[in-house]
This record gives sequence, C-alpha cells and structure tokens, in this order.
Amino acid sequence: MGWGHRKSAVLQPSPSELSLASPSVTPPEMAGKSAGSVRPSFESVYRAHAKTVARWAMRLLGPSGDFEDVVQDAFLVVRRRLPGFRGEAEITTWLYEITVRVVQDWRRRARWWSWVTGRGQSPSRGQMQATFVPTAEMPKDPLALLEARERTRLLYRLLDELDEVHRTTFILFELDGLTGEQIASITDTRISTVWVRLSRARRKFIQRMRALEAREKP
Amino acid sequence: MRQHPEDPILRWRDRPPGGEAAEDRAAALIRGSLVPAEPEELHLPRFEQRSRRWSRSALLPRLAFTALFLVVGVATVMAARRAGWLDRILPVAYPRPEPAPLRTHRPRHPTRVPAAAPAAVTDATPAEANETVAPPPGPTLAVPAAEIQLPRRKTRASRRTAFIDSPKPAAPALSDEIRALDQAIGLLRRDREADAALSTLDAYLARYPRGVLNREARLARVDALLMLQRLDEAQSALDTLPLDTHRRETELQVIRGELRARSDCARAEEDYSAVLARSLDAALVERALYGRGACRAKRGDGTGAAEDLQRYLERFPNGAHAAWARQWLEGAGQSLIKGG
Repeated sequence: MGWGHRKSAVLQPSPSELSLASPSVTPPEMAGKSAGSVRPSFESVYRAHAKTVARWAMRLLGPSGDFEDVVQDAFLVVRRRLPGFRGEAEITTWLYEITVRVVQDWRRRARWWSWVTGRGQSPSRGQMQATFVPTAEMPKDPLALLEARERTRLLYRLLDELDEVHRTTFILFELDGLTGEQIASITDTRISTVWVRLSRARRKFIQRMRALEAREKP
Repeated sequence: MRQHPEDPILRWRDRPPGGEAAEDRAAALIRGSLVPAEPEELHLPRFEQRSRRWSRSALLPRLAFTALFLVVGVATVMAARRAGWLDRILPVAYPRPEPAPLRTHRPRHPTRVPAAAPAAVTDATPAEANETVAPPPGPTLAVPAAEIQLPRRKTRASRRTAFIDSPKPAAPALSDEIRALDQAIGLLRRDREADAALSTLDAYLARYPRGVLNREARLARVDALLMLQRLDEAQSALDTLPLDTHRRETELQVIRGELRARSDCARAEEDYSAVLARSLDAALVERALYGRGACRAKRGDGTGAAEDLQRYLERFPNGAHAAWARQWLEGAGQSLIKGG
C-alpha cells in the first residue's frame, strides 16, 4: 500500500468507502465527528482534527517517530484534496486513511535515510516530543511507569521488524481497536486480506518476540 | 476493549490474563504499554509557517536528487549497454545491429599483379599480332587487398537508426553469431590483422556452416585473402560465392574477372560483361571495360577488343590504361587496314 497504490482513496472516497464510513463501523474515537453534507473549510478541519491526527500518528509511529512532521504532511495532503471531498463520508475515516498513508510514507523515507547515511532515523523537522502516558487501569508509581515505558519501547521495536503492511494492520487492529471492515476500508483491501495480513503479522510478531526473549535470556 | 461482533478474531489484549503462551505474553506486553497522550495544541499559523518553509526548502534538494538519479540511471544503462550486459540480460530486447559488410575502395596505389597480357597487333590478323608487334604493358589486376578502406566509424545517428531499424529481435544464437563475426571484422578493419581475421572467419564458418551471416563471413574472408595476396584462394572463394548486384559485390565480380583473366579469359569476360551490363559506377566500369578489351585482344578478338578500348578512351581519356589502349588501337588499326 502506498500513495501510488490507490490514489482515489485519498483523492476522493469511493462509494464503497462512503458506505463503510457509516456510523455503524466508525471506531469509537471517530464517532460523532461526521462532517455532514457541507464541505468543511480547511481551517475548520485543521482546528477540529489536528490533535486527533497527531494522536493517530503517535500511535502508528511509536515514541521515536516525528509525529509533528506527519501531521504537517497529512494536512498538506488534506488541503490539496479537500476540494474533492464531497462530505458524504465521515471525514475522520478519510483523515485516518490519509494519516496511515503518510505514516507509511514517512517510515519509508526514514528507512531510506537510515540506509543511505547509516545514522538511524531521518533528522526530525518537528519540535514537539511525542508523549506516551499510562492508561487509567495502570499503576502510576514511578517504577511501574518505567516498566511500562520499557514495554512500550519493546513493543514498537518488535513492530518495527514487521513489513509495513503487516505492521499497519497489526497496529490498527490490536492497538487502535479498529474492526476488520474499517481496516479494509482504510487500507483499501478486501477484508479477507486484512485477516491474512493480521495472521501473518501476529505470527511474525511472536517469532520476533521469541527470538528476542531467547537473546535476552541469561 | 471488547471484540467487535463482526470480527471473527479475538484481539490479544482481550485474552484472559495470566496465560503462559506466547500470545498471552504478547497480550501482556500490549496491555502494559503506554498509550499516546493528548498532544499539545497544534496551531494553524505554525502549520502555515512550516508549510511555506517546507515548500521552499524541499524544492531544491528534490530537484537535485531527481537530476542526480536520472544522470546516474542513464549512465548506468549506457555503461551496461556498452559493456554488453544488456545483451546478456535482455538478448531479445536489445539486439545489436548487424555489422556492415566490408567496403573496399579503389586504392590510390593499388597492389598490381600482372595478369593476362593482351594480344599484340599483327599486320595480318589480330590472332597473329603477338608475333609482330611488341606487346604493350599488360593489363594489371588492381587488387584492393592491401588498401581495403574501412568504412568510417558509424555516427551516433546511424547507430541509433541501425538499432531502431532492426527488423526483428535477434535470437540469442544470432547474437553469438554477430559477436563472432564482429570480432573477425574488427581484426580485419581496425587491426589489419588479416591472418588472425582469416583464422577467426574460418572458425566462424566451421561453427556456423549455415549461419544467418554466412554470406557476410565469406565476403569478409575474400577480403582477408586478398589482403594476404593469396590470390588463387581468393579466386576459389569467389568462384563458389554467388554474387549479388550490390556495389560491393559488383566490385568483387570485377576482382573475380581480374583474377580469372590470369588463366581463363573466357570466364573473365563473362564477369566483365555482367558488370558492364548493370553497373553505372565509373571506377568499376573503367576496370571492366579495360579488362574485357584486354581479354578479347588476348583471345584474338581484335574487333571486340578495339570496340572496348575505343569506348574506354572515349569515356576515360585520362584513365590509368589510356596510354596502353591508344598504343594498342594504333597497332590494331594498322593491322586491320592492312588486313582489309
């Protein structure tokens, strides 16, 4: 999946996407943010959804990613494509799709930069630090927080070893809690493909996790 | 988070805690991880400012990168093509053009080999002319062997045209043939290594007795033999080679006539006559006209010889053999007058 894979998904939601973006399949955090039939202005979209897009970007990138850069790129795409958005779909679904693609693009660039320079990720252009916090159920003492931070780092380290499509599918399903149908809509695939990708992503995740455990075992 | 009723797969984080399976450990890892915090306010003016900066700063590197990418790509493809890698990778898509056949020119200072001497003029009949009049210098065989003039290096445009005009993709076997023949012709043209070229051509003909380029190889072999002054072998090679009407092959027919004239003027006349019947090339016509006239004189056909030499003088009054032709005609004219 990439920008060239199916541009129409970003350029203009297809009728199937519009039907999939109905409230019945809109994820909890997307619900209640329908754009309605009136096409919103870019400024209003930015003010209403920039923070949401930033949170999605953080989730998809992990603690080390430059989420501000992704938000910037995502809204550049939004500004360019907004005139083609007819307002019949959930704008949040459309934004989510753009965010996923921008994140994938950003990660490809980062990998390329890393390969060329051998210096890890590309130099960050953003100035805001991604912050990850414990959930309501988690203990808040410093030691638990330290352990949770280490688990988060480990989780994204394992995810980073997956292929891009598998990584995206895994995050959307396991971490973001989207349904298979929503993932199929966002990534422009059939739902059966989503399950296949998820299955492979899980298998690879387990393999990497076992390998890591074996390496770190004293 | 609960499993969505439409999803047939249970999320790992919804598995009951406490299991020892790898999936349970993965679920614990996910459950125990932090989640993204609500980010700080993202102000629109900051977005606009960054967009302007980004569009300015990104244009030049992108253009530079694209240009560099294109230059490196084109250079790589050209280098690969020059090194012949493309032929190996894509032998069908990138056939090499067929080598041009060797082209010989009339040399400025050709190697001259004495050939058949013409009949001398007699006072009785043309047949007895040998005994009474000292024979003038005999006709010479202008063998272009040592002076084979190689065609100029193909221009870029002609190479491109040859490449584009390739009638159909070459099969791998043809590519091999072309490469083998190319090597031989390179030895002949560039290096003037006639011996080595001849060996290569013989090896080629042995390997591809029915090759697509068999004819071109045999033509090149004749050139090599002429260059080596192996005239009898060159004549034998030409005797077995059906000659076409192209300029190059017409010239070879003249050469064959000159070679045959050394021992068999009747067959030499056939070659000369064939050339004179179809060729408009002045240099070839001059050689053929003179050669046929000399052969006719040698065979005792004084009338025919006189006609040819007369035509020769009319058309080439300053030709290489004009002096001899005049001398012969004067003697022949006297003898013809005397003979009535």
